[in-house]
Amino acid sequence: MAVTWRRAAGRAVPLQVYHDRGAAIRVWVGDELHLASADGPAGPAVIACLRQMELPAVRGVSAMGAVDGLAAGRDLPRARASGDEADFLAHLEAGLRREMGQMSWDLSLEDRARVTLVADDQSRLASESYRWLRLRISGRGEGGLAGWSGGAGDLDSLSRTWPVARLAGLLRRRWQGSRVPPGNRPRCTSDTPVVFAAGNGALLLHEMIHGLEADQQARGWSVWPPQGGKVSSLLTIWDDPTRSGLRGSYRSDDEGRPARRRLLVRQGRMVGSLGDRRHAGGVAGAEDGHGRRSSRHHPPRPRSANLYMAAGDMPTSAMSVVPRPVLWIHDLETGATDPLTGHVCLLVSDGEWFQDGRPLGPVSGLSLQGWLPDILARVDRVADERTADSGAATCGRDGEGVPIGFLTPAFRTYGLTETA
Amino acid sequence: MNPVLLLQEAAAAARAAGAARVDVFHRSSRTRLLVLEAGRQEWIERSEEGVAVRAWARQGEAALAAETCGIDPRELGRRAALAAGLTAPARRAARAPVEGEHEPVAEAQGESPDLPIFDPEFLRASRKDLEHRLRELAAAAGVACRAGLPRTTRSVLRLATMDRHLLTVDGRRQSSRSTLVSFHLRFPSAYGLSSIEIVSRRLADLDTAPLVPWLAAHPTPAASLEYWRATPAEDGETALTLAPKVMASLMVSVAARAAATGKALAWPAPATLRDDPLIPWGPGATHLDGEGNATRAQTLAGPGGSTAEGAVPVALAPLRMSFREPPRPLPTNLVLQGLPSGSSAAAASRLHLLDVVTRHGGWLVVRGTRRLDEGGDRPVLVEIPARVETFFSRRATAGPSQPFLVADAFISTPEVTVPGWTLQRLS
Repeated sequence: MAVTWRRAAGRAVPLQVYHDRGAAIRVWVGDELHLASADGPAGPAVIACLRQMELPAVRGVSAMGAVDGLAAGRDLPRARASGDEADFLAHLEAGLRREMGQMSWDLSLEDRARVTLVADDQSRLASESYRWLRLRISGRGEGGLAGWSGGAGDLDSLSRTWPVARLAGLLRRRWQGSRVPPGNRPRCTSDTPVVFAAGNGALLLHEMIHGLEADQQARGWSVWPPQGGKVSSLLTIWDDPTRSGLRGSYRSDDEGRPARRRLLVRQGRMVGSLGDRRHAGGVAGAEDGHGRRSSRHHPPRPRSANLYMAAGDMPTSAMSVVPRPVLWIHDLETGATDPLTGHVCLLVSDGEWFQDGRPLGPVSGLSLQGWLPDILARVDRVADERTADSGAATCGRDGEGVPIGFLTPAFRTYGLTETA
Repeated sequence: MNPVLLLQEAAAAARAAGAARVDVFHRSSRTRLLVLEAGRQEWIERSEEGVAVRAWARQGEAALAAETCGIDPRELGRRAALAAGLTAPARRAARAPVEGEHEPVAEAQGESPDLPIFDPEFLRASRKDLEHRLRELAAAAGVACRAGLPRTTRSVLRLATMDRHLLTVDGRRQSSRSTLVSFHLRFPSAYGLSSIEIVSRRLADLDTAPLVPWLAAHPTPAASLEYWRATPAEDGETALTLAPKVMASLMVSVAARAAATGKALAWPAPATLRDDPLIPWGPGATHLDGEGNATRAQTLAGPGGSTAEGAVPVALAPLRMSFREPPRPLPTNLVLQGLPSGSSAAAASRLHLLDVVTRHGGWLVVRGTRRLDEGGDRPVLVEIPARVETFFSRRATAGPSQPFLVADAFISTPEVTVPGWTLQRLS
């Protein structure tokens, strides 16, 4: 179920309420996979699934249903709001107006909750409940734009983590960055030092993970060799859905398997991949609680959850102390990778140029591209403190999105070229 | 539950709860996907059904409540009215009689031109038929691909049958049934992971023939993956061929710009870009929009754009992509016509741009192949301006190949060739 509140042009916009229920059944007949899914209350939906299937012999079965009201101890969002959410948006908008003057703001807050039940042919039953609030802000004024999104598990955490003054600071930087003409700032070339900030900057590392998904590896659609690729020895990376507080957390995956931490890169050497039940046989040790689906209408596939990276030994503030321009990427709007070639495109929504540790000015809307094996091999500094991302990241693959999170330190690398 | 009763009950409940105006939309669809990859098959059968109620307070914007089927429609109607009222308490005046509240629901109205969008063959197609059809399409694509398709190619045949019912704000009830079939192909090539999708309303019309030039331009993956590393720019003029996939991206932004400005755009070419929802068997064809009003064809861009009499107004039809979202203005079937025929085959060097990698600001990052006069070709990655006018001002012509529909945008566009083009940058 999802409820969305919105404020635009200084006034509240009516709610959107969406309630979704249904079931799916997955069956193997020999090597052939059958998936049937249907909407509606779980019982009739399961029957509808079975009717669609007409199967003579079944090897394995797993069923997944989303049923509301079964999540112990966790409430689903309420259509009849207490008023807290609308008040939160009104308060936030007033604060932004106070801090940033006359910009026009469009704010939305989505409260999404999901309960998933999974049963399989080995009599295992797993239930999972998930709730996340996502805040989106976009502002426009005096020839510039500023946008941001973030989230948290509840409204109190959201208010605490993102007070108005903090939001105003980063929105102001983005707005200023969007007003800087490309000719009035340094240009990022392959040899420019680029620092990816702790938390949100880990999107680059996430792009690497796509090549470590077991299904992509089984197809040979990965830039990383099956025997394990190599990147900078400063990188140790793992995926861990079990830690709470990040957007990609869960206790059991969409195949009902317990979530597990999975080491992917140890001191620069790739040592693992992300697996699901289907690819467990193809890649050793691959079934590790990373079978995820964007909805019951899609089969589960190996996907990332929360990406972690080990901290290094350099103070974060020292990363930009270089006698030439350094691009510091605070946040990325989006990233796209071709898993086969490793070509990556990144869109920077919030960046800043530094030289000798002094700020040269903000930049946003910058597009960068490069070759992942090269970029990750050239990481030469890793900071000594880690930060969680802002809580709004979604991994999209083939039109299917799943929530993800990051807890990473800042790191510095090279090999990214500005595209225009 | 009967969808018509569901519409009526949900609307009545929303009005009883205080909504001044209501519309209710119900959609059910059945989708069958057959996936073929490395000799293995997957069957995916999706049955989706949902209803959405939009409720307006006396003035202002509408709240939307949506639900996959199974809920009591009266509850959904009340929920929508509540959502409309919750955030606009000042507008919740004492309830007055609402126009049309007690009127019986009218039968389907509005224009019903002879617009075929439903192929009964969908209902008759057995699993065996679909397996046969998919293998046929994949084999034809394999023959067209210069390098041949590798074993890890993933091909998908998707058939969707959709029923939609709408109860409009003024009490009209409309229903339609449509079909859509698509063939999607993804394969490793010298350019990386390449993919293409074609679409049709009719199973028999799905044909890979228009894809031949696009597929034929793909060399084997072994040709080189090294081009992703930085290579120096090559100066000098080259002939440019923009594949329909690239043209589609340019055209979508033209449509968006025209819709945003509310009037047709002018461009320096004899071609016309039209949005035509009334093309028989058009993949985006619909004679009624998402609010129940008749749709019409319109010109989005053309030579001179606005006429001497003034601006040609543009207002794209509000469409519902899903019952979960309110209607929003979108193109239906985009058609680019009228470019003079021509070919760049005689040019000494030629750049054939096949895929858009990403868009940023005013640029597209595009990949393709560069064919040099001494023969041979190699993959390239280049940037081109996102504005199609830039190419049209260079005497662009339509290529000799057939136009093909790009599935995600429902655009019919030919290949376009530009005789002389200086590359901005190669990476």
